[in-house]
Formats: sequence, C-alpha cells, structure tokens
Amino acid sequence: MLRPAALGNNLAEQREDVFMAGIEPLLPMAYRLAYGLLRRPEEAEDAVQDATFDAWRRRSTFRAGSEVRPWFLAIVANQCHRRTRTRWWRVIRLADPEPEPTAAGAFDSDEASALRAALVRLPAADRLVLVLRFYLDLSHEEVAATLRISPSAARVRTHRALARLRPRLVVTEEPSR
Amino acid sequence: MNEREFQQLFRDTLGEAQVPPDLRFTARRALGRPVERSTTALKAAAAVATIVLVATIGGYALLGRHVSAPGPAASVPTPPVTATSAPAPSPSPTGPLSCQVTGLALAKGASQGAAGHLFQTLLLTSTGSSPCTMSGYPTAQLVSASQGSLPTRVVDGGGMLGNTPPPSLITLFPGQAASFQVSWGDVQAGAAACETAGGIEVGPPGEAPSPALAVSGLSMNVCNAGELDVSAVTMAP
Repeated sequence: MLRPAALGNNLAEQREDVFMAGIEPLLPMAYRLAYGLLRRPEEAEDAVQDATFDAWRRRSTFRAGSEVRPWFLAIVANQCHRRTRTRWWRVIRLADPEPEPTAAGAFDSDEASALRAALVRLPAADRLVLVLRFYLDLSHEEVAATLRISPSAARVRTHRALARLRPRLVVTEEPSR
Repeated sequence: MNEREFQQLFRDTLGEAQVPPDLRFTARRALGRPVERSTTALKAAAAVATIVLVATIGGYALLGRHVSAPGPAASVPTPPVTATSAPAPSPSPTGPLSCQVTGLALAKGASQGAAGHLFQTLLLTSTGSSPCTMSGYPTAQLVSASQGSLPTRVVDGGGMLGNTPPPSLITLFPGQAASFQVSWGDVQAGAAACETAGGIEVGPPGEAPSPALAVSGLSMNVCNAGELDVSAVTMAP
C-alpha cells in the first residue's frame, strides 16, 4: 500500500508541480471513490479533475504534518456530493438504464442486484462511509480521518449504514480488521 | 456474513472502477482552468489544444528550428582548456569559456517534499574572476556518508522535472549563480531497491561530478535504483 503521503510543511506555498507530485499518487484511489459514489466513469473523471482544482485552491486548509490522503479524499467526496445535487444529475439519473442482467447470474447475483437497488436509496452520507470502508478498503482510522470524525464514530457510522442498507443482513466484524 | 464476504459482494455490486489512463494529465490540466465547464467543452478544448500543439511542433520541425535532443551532447562545446586555474586577465576574443569545476562552488538552495518525491535546489556559484558559460544538465553522483560512491542513474529532465525549462546557454559573471534542481523518489516502488545517500557530488554540464562540488550532511532515501532526476541549469533568481 502507498505510504501515507507527507507533503511538506508549506503546502500553501508550494508550486504547482510540487503540489501535483503529492496529489498524483492519490488519483487512482480518488477515481475509485468518485466512481463508487457516482457510478458513471465520465462523471467520476470530471469529479476528480474538479477536486484536484479544489484541492489546489484550498491548499491553505491543509494542516501541516497531517496526511494528504484523507484531506484529498474528503475534497473528492465533497465534489461528488455537489454533483449529485445538480439538476443535471437528476436528468442523467432518470436516463440511467437498469444494469443489464448478466447471463445465469455469473457476475450479478440476486444478492448483488438487491444490494445495488438498496444502495441507490441509501442517504449520501451512508453511501460514502460504505464506499470508503468496503470499496476503498480503508481502515476505520482512515475513514475517520476522511470524514473528520473519531475512529469510534466511524465504526458506529459504518454499522449504521450497513443496517440501513440491508436490515436483515448481519455483517460481523473480524477482529483482524 | 462477515466483513470480507460483504466487501466482496459490495465490490461485485459496484463493479470494478477502470481508472482512466490519462487521469493524471487531465487532473494536472485542471489546475490551469476555471471551475465551471462541461465535459464536452473541455474535451473539445483539449482536442483543439492538441491540434495546435501538434501543428506548432510540426511547423517548427519543418522549419528545422527544433531544438536537438537535450543532454550532455547539447551542451556548449568545451574548448580544450589545459590551465583553468589562472584565467587570462584580458577577455578572450572567443567569448567566455565554459565554467569549470575549479571556478565554481556548490551550495544548497531550498528543498521541498511531496508525497514520495523530494526536490532539492542546488546553486553553482561562479568563484572565478571572469565570466563563464553553462548550458544543459549538470552531472551528479550520489555518495554515502563516508563519501563513497553509490549507484546513481542520472536522468536529465526526468521524472517530476519533466516540466522544467529545456537547456539554454547562461553566462555567469563572477559571484553569480546558476540554479538547478535534483529530485528523487523516496518510496520504494517495485523490486528496485532504495539506498541512503549522505550527499551529492555534481559537475557542471559535460563534466564529471567532482568531490570539490559536493553537498554533504544530507539524509536522502533514494529509491528506484538510485534514480536522480536533474533539471537544466538556469540563472539563479
């Protein structure tokens, strides 16, 4: 796994290329986050671009000595959230065809399609915590840092989101994770 | 269902994200543009920019005005100099000579760190009594804390220094300084090992690195088999 990035103390004073050198290793994960939240490749790519620009403009909000990854992921999540609240998003959501059923459920079990339907109905905050935890495979600590809450609150939020997603689904936490 | 099983189900549900290969370029481009724009407008603009760029480069190539490949070969030809310690007091009719190791002093400039990449500015100050010239990429050698040579792969304009200005001829008057950057990755990627260097020895473009031009007391973790990216010299501000 990529070592948590430690940008220099003076991120606010950094030049563009140095700033980008810090952000670039995070772009694939940023894209996964955006894709997990938006489910549309072109929207995800645009969101990552806009988030990069946001991050550059808001680089003075980066606290020296903290980690870049949660800071940047939070900006990406914000950018995605903003996108889903536009009129345009509602238009493309309506135009969105249901995912094509795959042959013999090879890749798309009933469970998966039920889960997908439930995900669409889930509040944005719940969806975000689930994507961070289960799609990006972040630890509770890093989920917490991204959401700017405590690790125990991140744990609670994850379980609450799971409970809302599938009331009858019981997911047991493994001690090693 | 345990967390891992749920994670698998969750991933199957969302599908795998295919990270666009040009993401870093589009993201980099994002810094130079206003916030509001549509994808189509952006892509059209990018297409136009590409065409213009290609046309420009093509035009230059046709005119034969393109710069030859950078590197030591592109640096100014060094006139054969046998005695460099005592430059002639009268200006040479052929113009200033290339800067020599003996007429330079090395100093550290600003350093900056980013995720996985470190940048160090180095300054070559002219200590001679007459002007000298420089063009291109300085040479460099990583050394250990005990001044022993370490494996070094110098890449001119490589890595994160790909956007730095191309070589140009600069003239240093006594006391003036040339500036260049070195950059290295300090996060291990793949099988290539990292090494700890205590300093760098450099040489002016076209000349071997020299212990006379060294900075020591550094603690550099250089990964990617000693890759050290170097920018071309420019006049120090």
